Amino acid sequence: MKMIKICNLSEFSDNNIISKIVNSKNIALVKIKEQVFAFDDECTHEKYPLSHGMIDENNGNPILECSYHGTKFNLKSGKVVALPATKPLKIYKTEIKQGEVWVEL
Amino acid sequence: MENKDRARQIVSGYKYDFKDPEEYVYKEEKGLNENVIKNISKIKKELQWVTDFRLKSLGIFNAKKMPTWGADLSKINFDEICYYIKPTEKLARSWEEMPDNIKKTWDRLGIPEAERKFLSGVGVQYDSETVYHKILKDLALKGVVFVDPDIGLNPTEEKIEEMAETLDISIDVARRNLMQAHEKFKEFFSTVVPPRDNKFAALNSSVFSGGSFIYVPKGVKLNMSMPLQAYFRINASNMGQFERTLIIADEDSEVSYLEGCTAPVYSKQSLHAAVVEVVALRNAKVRYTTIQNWSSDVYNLVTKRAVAYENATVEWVDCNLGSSVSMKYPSVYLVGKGAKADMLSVAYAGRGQHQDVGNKAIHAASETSSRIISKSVSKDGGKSTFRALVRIEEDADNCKTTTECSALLLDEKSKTDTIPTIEVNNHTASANHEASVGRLSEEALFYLQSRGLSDEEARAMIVLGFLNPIVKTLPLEYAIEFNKLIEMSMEGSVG
Ligand code: FES
Repeated sequence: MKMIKICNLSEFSDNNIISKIVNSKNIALVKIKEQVFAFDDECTHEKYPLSHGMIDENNGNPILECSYHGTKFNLKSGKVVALPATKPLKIYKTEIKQGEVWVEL
Repeated sequence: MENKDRARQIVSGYKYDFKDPEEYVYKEEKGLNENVIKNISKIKKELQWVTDFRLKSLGIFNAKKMPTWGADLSKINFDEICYYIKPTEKLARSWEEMPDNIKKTWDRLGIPEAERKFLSGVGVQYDSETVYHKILKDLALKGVVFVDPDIGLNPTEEKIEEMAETLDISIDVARRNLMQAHEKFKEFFSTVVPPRDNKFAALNSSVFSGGSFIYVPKGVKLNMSMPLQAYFRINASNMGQFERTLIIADEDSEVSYLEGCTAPVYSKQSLHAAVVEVVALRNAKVRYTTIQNWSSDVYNLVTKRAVAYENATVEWVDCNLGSSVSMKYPSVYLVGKGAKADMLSVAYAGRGQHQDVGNKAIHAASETSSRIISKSVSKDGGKSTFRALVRIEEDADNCKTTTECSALLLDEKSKTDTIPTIEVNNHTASANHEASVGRLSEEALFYLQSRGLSDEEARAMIVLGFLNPIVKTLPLEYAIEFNKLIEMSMEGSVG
């Protein structure tokens, strides 16, 4: 596992999910209130891209909703908070260093 | 019942075909758009987030395509349907308080009598709204809540006082019960069946009205042979009923819920698109029984799903007799170790009917088990389709599943299809599947006739025997009623 620079913070607008290919993996990233979350760009339900999804909030937790069948994941823990997916989402550790976004992969 | 009466009913084909005059306090224009949704929300005095949830769901409904698999839905005209009819100003506290025409309906269906004799609680819905909801006082004192989902969404002071008065409990107890249940409601509402799940779940989420919200607190076990019952009645023609049911059984609790549904026969289509969400927390047990007997002009497109946590048990008992088309596949997501699902279904498809039904079990945790047993009877050109999906996930060890489906064809014109899918992704699983399709056995018919039964009686007896393993799981009163309905459907079946 090592930290890899993915992009600049200036590429993000709030709650807008972007998708990058890193080491032949599809990674989705989103900035929510100064924090960047990185996760697999593939829903654990039927593998559709999560970068098409929507961001919401529930009791202070950032929530990602898959745009295909509505599964919701908690972006802090990766836990499923609404079916139909049952498997958690892989969340990657991120760091912002001097305006650059780094992800542990 | 006198033979003549029975014969008359059979000619009309449907014993629930009585109509009340359409009387209501509010009826929405036909068709679906944002204004309809805002009106429904305004009438219900909903919080802004609920209105937003409805509007977002409408967008999803409009964007999703009609399903192209399954039954033929091409004749549904969404613009011709009325999405909301409010029958009365407020919930009745007793049957006597109800408007006469509506009360008569329940008397004819025998609901007040059943409530007195063997039910723990009753909720009844007439067109778009529930008009009565009551449970036994001692259950209320244990914190059990059985109300309209509107109250679960927003338990106002007015609702709390109404509940206290109806159930004859103190306002403090009513408030404690409703606030406790409301917290759970917020936690689980639309997490089992989100609006994006499918087109009809989105439709329901945009116009839902009525249904049941049940919360059973930790450790409270209701008598499984005294169910909570809900009864759904569509009275108006060209009407859509979109009830929403959420049952939350907290840890170590038990509850049995039973729903029945009927409508008069019109020549125009009606639509029933319900969403049912069941949450069985650790060690909880929920039995959900449906006796669906809609009239032959109702499209019945329902999403029913349960989630079972550690060592919880969910049982679906689903009897489908009526409707022109049913598409319904009650499912259980087994997400906790040791959770169990038991799913029994009966489908009867007569002339012009297509019962496209089945079950789904998703084994997402180890040592979970599921059993799916389905029986269908097709007659007079009716079609029954059984679909099952069982999936055992890679990391779910030592799971067991059994699927058994049997179909009985009563004549050459009728059809049946069986489409089971079993996906096993873990080598420690044990999966069984059995399927059979048969015709009435001439030998059995001959044997019964040689014992003095007429041809018709012999046929009915074979069908009842075929369905009995499932029917016997119903509460006695309903098993008797169900058998009577099957016998009536079987009359005139000779030749
Ligand atoms: S693909 Fe994401 S919920 Fe189905």
